[in-house]
Amino acid sequence: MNDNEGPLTAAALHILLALSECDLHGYGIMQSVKRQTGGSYKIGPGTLYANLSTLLAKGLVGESQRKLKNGDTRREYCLTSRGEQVLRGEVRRLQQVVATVRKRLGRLNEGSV
Amino acid sequence: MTVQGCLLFAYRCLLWLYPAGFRRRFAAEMVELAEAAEAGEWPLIFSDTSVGVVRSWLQTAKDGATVVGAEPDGYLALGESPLPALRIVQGFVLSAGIILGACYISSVPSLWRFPDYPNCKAISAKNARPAKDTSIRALRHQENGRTDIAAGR
Repeated sequence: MNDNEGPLTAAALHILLALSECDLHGYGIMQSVKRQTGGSYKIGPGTLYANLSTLLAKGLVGESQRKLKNGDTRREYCLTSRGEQVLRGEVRRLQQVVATVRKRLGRLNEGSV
Repeated sequence: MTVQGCLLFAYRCLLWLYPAGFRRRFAAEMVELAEAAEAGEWPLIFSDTSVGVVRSWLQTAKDGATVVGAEPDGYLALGESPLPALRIVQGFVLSAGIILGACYISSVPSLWRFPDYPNCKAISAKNARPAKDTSIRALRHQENGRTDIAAGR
C-alpha cells in the first residue's frame, strides 16, 4: 500500500477517500462510497470490514469510541497521517496512469483518423 | 418470525464462519449494518459477506499460519491437534457452501454466460493489421528482391 507494497485496491482507496473527509462509522463509510461513485460502486459489509481490518493493522486507519446522546458508544474510524500519506501517493500514481492513458489514447485516435 | 428476522438470523450464522478474532471485533457492527439494510440490498450483503469469509480465512492463513512439521511415523489425534474441532467444522461448512454455490452457478447458464459485444468485434476487425507472411518462400522472395536491387537489376 505504499511504494513497497504496490497500489491500493479499489475498496481501500474509496474507504481512505471517505475517511479523508471526516471520521465515520461503518455505515457512514458505506454511504460515503456510494455518494463518491454516484451509486455505481457499492461496498458491502464483508468487503468493508475485511479492508478496515487490513487498514487498521497497517496503521493507515485509526479508531475511536464516540459516546452517543442515548449513552451508547459507537466505533468510528479516522484517517491517520500515514494513511493520508499513502492516499496522496496513490493519487499521484493514478494521475501518472491517467496521463499515460491520455497520451496513448490520443495517439490511437490520431492513427484512426 | 418476519422475513427480516429470518434474514438476520441467517446472516448471524454466516458471520459465525469468520475467524474468531475478526468476529469478536467486527460482527456486532456488521449485524448493525445488516439491520439497517433495505430489502433489495440483502443479496449484496450475503454475497459480499460470503466472499469476505473466504478472504479473511485466506488472510489469517497468510498472516498467522504456523507450519507443523510432520514426523516420519507421527500422527496427531484430533484432541491434540493444533487445529481446534470448531475450525474444522467451520471449514467443512464453508467448503460445503462454496461447492453448493459453484453447483448453483453452473446450473444457471445466464449467470456465467458472457455477453456478446458486437462493437468490440467490429473495432478489432477494423484495427487488425494484415497478417505478415513469414513462410520460407516469402522470406526467400524478399531476399531475392534485395539482391536484385543490389545488382541494379
